[in-house]
This record gives sequence, structure tokens and C-alpha cells, in this order.
Amino acid sequence: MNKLKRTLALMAVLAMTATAFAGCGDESSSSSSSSQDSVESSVEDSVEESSDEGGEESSDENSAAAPVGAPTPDGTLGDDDGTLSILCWTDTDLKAMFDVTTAENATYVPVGADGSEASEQYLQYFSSGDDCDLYICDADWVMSYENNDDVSAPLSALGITADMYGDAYDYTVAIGTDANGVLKGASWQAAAGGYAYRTDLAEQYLGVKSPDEMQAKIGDWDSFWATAKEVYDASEGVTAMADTIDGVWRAYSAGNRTSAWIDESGKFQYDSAVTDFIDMIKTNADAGYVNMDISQWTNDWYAIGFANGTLANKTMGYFFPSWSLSATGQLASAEGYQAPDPDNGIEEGWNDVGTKGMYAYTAGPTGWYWGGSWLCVSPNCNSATAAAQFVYDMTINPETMKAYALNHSDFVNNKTVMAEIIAEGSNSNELFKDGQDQFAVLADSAAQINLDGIAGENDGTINTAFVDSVKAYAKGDLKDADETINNFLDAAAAKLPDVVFE
Amino acid sequence: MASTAQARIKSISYAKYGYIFILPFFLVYCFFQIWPLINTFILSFQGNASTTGEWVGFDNYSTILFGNGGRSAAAIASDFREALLNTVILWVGNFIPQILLSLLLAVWFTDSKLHIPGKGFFKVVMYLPNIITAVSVAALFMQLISNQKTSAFNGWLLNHGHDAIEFEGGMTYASSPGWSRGIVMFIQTWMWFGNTMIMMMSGILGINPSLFEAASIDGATSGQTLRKVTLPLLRPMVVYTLITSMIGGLQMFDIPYLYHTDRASLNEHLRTAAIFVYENFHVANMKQVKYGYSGAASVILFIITVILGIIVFRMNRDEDEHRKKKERKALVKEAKAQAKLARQGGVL
Repeated sequence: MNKLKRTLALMAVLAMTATAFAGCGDESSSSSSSSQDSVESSVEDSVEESSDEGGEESSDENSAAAPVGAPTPDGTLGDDDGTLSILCWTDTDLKAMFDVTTAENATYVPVGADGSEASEQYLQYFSSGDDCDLYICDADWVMSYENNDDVSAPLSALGITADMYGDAYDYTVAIGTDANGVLKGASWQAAAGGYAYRTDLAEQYLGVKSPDEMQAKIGDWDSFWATAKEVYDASEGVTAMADTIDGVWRAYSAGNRTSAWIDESGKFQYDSAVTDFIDMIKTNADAGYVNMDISQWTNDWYAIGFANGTLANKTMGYFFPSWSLSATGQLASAEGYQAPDPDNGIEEGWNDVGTKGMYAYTAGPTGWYWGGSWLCVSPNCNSATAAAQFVYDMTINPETMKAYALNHSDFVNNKTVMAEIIAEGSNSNELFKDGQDQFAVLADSAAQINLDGIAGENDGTINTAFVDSVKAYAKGDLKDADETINNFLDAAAAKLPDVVFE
Repeated sequence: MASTAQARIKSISYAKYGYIFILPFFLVYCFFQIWPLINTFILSFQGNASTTGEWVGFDNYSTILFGNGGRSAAAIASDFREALLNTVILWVGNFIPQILLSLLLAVWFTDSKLHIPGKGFFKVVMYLPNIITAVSVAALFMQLISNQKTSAFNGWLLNHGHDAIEFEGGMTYASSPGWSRGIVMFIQTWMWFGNTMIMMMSGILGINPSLFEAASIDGATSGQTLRKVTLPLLRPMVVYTLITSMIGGLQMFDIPYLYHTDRASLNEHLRTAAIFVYENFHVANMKQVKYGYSGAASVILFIITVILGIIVFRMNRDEDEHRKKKERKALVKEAKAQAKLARQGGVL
């Protein structure tokens, strides 16, 4: 009896201790089990291995999309995991990619946050030790990952080298290269931007009937704002030309900034584009040509692009980059697309907002780009072959890239492929009036993007601080341009203790 | 005569089983509570960004308190000062209406002369906001009253031909806070008055009913009963609420952090000290992480809490009791001195 009691007590204690540490144990147990798996499989399969590999290769060769010259990993990364896990903040692109890639068992792991929050979530995910082979980085913070060897491995570990990117847009390779000149990120898209406008309003207020006529009226910033005045007056003060201050800054900064925010010695600097922009926005926001109280990524942002509702016709158009034009992107939202939200019981669908298929696309006042996404390799990658196949398919292989571009309306990072599609006229985007091909509009802008020495790893933080200050100035919360600059520098300085501010 | 069996029973100590049973709790507690606490203190003496992990002494404290050392330090210091001020404003602005409202309701609900129907129903309904998570509450108010043109208030205004109102005021500290702080204070009050009301009611119900009876026999009006009987006897409960609310208020985080329409940045008028701590270690680029400032701010917050706690405790102390205690102590001391003197044979 006594023994029984003791045994029971001991078991209860052990059970409690075990549950208390269950959370900590997770990581080690999973990693140990996976290493055991690998040991077992290497022992068991030692005989079968060669035949297995042969089988895989032959199946690759047999499938139609199989590329010639898919890269072979150099062996520094593990290759014993059955699944290719790709960390991402949105799955829409990846879903389309999985349709075209031949990489096996590819899965995505959404972190459930976007913007710079996604970056924080990534770091947490990395420290949790869960499986991650590739991850997608945003332009705003990709460089901070590339310059950190603890979280990124060179692409050469997958057998992918810079000379394979002869057809890629130069800036994507430049941003994919870290401070030591090692290629660490590969982009599948060129994120050139343009200006999407409402054709019905353009015809009504400006008498413009085609994108070419529109482009003639907004070809540079002076004519853009002159047209803005026409629109504002004709609409009796309802319609602003530019969607948001954020949007104008994206376009203006990419076309006009000539130096990086932080120079090589770690000192903060800004060029005349910054001061020019402040003056430009103040003048035009006061006149009502920019929606200064609308922020990007809010419901209001989309609602100003509707033809009905409380914010109807508040904007003539949007500064949208290539990735906003996909079937479920931001343009779709401005045309009434409702993204599915299972938590709140909302199903995917279209609301009748009166602007579906009413937009057209032009290059706008300046060639610019916004973000873009880079595929980076985790140092803990344990599916190197599949990872190499995936990166190759999405960033080098013309066939898969073309299929992806046509399926998903994404502007892929391959000049030859894009030229081919434009020449064939095979792309038609239903979101635009008459199925306009946005690739033709973007081809020139994409080729002109030059970020040599302009992009840096803290751009996201600095741009946010700047736009906040400009918004405050536009609303009259800050007195003048000097105070705006001061406010901006303070906000940025508080976030970046390592940078020298004067 | 004690048998050997009895002696053995006496020698068995059951205490060790007790220790074994509570061991898991202490292990978990040390690992997840004590160590992080100690680590906060350690981090507050270590550097930021490129100097993370290096010992810097009191540099972080001097930076966030006085802002010595360039623009970055000055900006951090002014951010921290603003954050402390915001915290105090938001806390005072929600505590005063909250305690008044809950006191009033508690007095009404416990008054035997007022026969309020559906007391139980009201108690439950008033407590309900506290059950909803802060995130949902923030989302609710964003849909109800915020800068969003599609929020209920602005939607109504726009539909009726008025201009939309910028309920959130200016985002930068230089601009006017607008309604932002008021709305956050309201949300906090709305969330917590039910909880405080239940506390107050339990306090009032703990007062001896014969005192109320005596007061009413002596012809006291209900106002007099409230001022002369209820409130003085309710003081311990009010002080308890004050302390818990103060500690909670200094840590205020979720509602001010979530109440902003702009996706990229939050309203600087709502940046509380807890948000300051969070923002400094929660960064997109890990090279810019500022554990030192976060740690130092947390420690300062801790010190402020301790000081305020002591002050409130002092305020609550029964002065008569305290004086008596002091006198007693003095007497004991004197008696001891006398005894010592006696032992030493009257020689000093």
C-alpha cells in the first residue's frame, strides 16, 4: 500500500515536471528526432540511395518543365529533409509558384504578420529552431538579413551563382548581394511601378481616352500636378490626383534620390530630393491634390478608389508597383475584391463598387520601384536540392518564370522572358480596361531602376519616420520645412542609435 | 514506554514530500520569472545596437533620463519623457472617472433602501467588457470611432453631408492629441469600472450593517451616511484599488498600442512607458536592437512603482495605530536598556 502511494506520488511529480517543461522540450526533441531519422535513413537507405537518386533525376528529366542545368548544391547545407519549407508573410505568390515549380514537397509557412513585423516574426521563428529552408524578404529589410551570416547562407551553397542572372534586372542582383559581395538573395520579380488611373473619371474630367493620352498629361511631376488641378477643379474638389502621401513618396524617392540615407562611415545624410519633396507635398496637399488623411494598407485606401460609398471618387488613381496588379492584389481591392477571412466568416468575392475593370495603367511621372521580394537561404536549410530547384525555377529558368508571369500577372525578373511576353501580347490583365497588358508599360521603368548606393538596410524605418513627419507638416501640425526635417531626424535618430546624426 | 515503532514514526519527516510536490512550481517560477527579472537588470547595464552585450555601466540611465550624447540620445530621452507623461495622463484620466463611477454604482447597488431591479443583470453586464480581450476591444473601437472613414461615427457623418473627424488627432508629439487620449481613457474606464465596482461592493458589504442602521436611526441623510460611514470604512478597499490600478496603469500597453489607423506607425500621444520598452527591443533590423534602453526604462518604471506604492501605503496607514506601535517599540527598547543596565550592575 505504502509502495503504491509512493509510486503514485512520484508519478504525479514526474508528470507535473514533464508538463511544466513541455514547452522547452519541443525544440530539442524535434531536432533530435530528425537527426535520428537522418541517421536511420542513411543507414537503411545506403543501398537504395543510388537507385533512389537515379529515379528522382530521371523523373525530373522526363517532366516537361524540367530545366537543363538545374544547379547542384555544393553540399554545405543539409539535404535529408523531405519537405521544402518556405517562410513568408503572404501565400498568394507562393501558391502560384507551386503550380509551376518542379521542386518537390514545397510548403509555405506564413508568419501571420506583414511589413516590418514580419521581420520580427521571422527572427522568432528562426530562434524557435523549426524547419526553414528558404525565406522571403522584403526590400525594406532584406539587406539586414543578407549582412547577417547567422540567418542567411550564400546562394552558392545551392550551386547558384551570380553569372546565372545575366537576364535579370541589375538592381535585383545588386540588392541580393551583401556588403562583402556575396550573392545571398534572388528575386523573382522586378517591382517597377506606375500609375493606375480611373478611365471613367479621366474621360469625364480630362477628356482622356487612352493610356497614351493620359501619360502625355502626367509625364513629369510638373504636368502631373497641373493635371491634378484640372481634375480637382472639374470634380469640384472631390477628386485628388494622388492616393496618399506615402504613395507619392515611394514614386518620388525612387526616381529622385541620389544618395543612401546612411553613408559608408555610418553618418546620416539626406539629399535635395527630401527637401524638394516636403515643399512639393505641402503645396499640393494644401491645394487638395493629395489625400493627406488616408494611409496605405487601410480599408480607406481601397475605398477612395470606388465609384460609390462614402469615399467615392476621392482619388483619380494610385501609385501601384507591379505586384499590386496581380489577381488578388491591391488594385483588385480597389475594384471591390474581398479577400477571404475565415476567422470572421468572410468568403472570397467581389463587392459591387463600380470600378471593376475601370482602371488603366501608365508609367506615370517617373520611373520608380517599390520593394520586391528576395528569396534567401537559411543556414539551417536541410532540403538543399529542392531549395536549389525552387530558386532556379523562380529566378533563372525562363520557362517556369514565363508560366508564372502569365498565371499570376507578376512582372518576373527576367528581361528575355518579359520581352517575349510583351512581343507575343500574351498577357492580358482583366483588372484593366480592355485587358491592358501592364508589362508593356513597366518594361522601360524596370530596365531603368538603378539603386547603386541608394538602398540600405534601414530604409524601411527611415522612410516611415520621414513620411510621418511630412504628413504632420501637410496637416499643419508642424510649422515649416525645417521643423519637419528636425522632427524626421529626431524620429529616425531615436530608432538608430548606431548612426551618427548631426 | 515508547516502542521503537513509535520512535520511528516520530522521526519520519513528511516535510520533504511537501518540498518535492512544490518543486515543479519553483523550477518553473525561477526559470520563467526570476531569471528574466534579473536579466532585465543586467541588460539595463549593457549596450545597444552594435554594443549589445557590452558592459556600459549607467550610460543607458543617463541617456534616457538626461539625453547626453548627440541627437540620438536626446531623441531617446525626449521619447521617454513623453512616454512617462503620456502614461500618467492616460492613467489619471481613466482612474478618476473609473473610481467615481464604480463607487456611485456600488453604493446604489448595495443600498437596502433603493430596490433596484435586475441588480444581478447589471453587475454581469457591467463586468462584461473586462472579459473581452484588449485586442478585440481595440478593434471594436477602431471600427466605431477612429480616423477610418469607414468607422461608424465617420461613416455616419460622411453619409449626412458632414466632414469626417480626425478622432486620433495628430500622430506626432508636436501636434495636438485631439480625441486620441480621451478615447483611450474612455476605453480603459469602460473596461475596468465593472471590476472596480465589484470590489467596492464587496467592501461595502463587509461593513457592519448595524452601523448603517444606527446612522439611519439617528436621522442621518443618505449623503451623510455615505460621507461619514461608508467612505471612511471603505478606505482600505479604495487604497487597494488605487495600488492595483496604479501598477496596472504604469504598465498600460495594449489599448494605446493598438489604437491607430495608420498601419506603419503609432500615435505618439499614446506611446506609454510600456510601449517605449516594447518598441526599443522590438525592431525590424536586429542590428538596431536596444535592449539596454528597454532594460533601463523597465528598471526606472519598477523604481517609480515601488516609490508610489510606498507612498500610498503610508497614506493608508492608521495614524493612531502607527503611533501606538511606535510608542510600544520605544517602551520595549527602554525596558531592554533598563534590563541591560541592571545586568551591568548600574554601571553604564
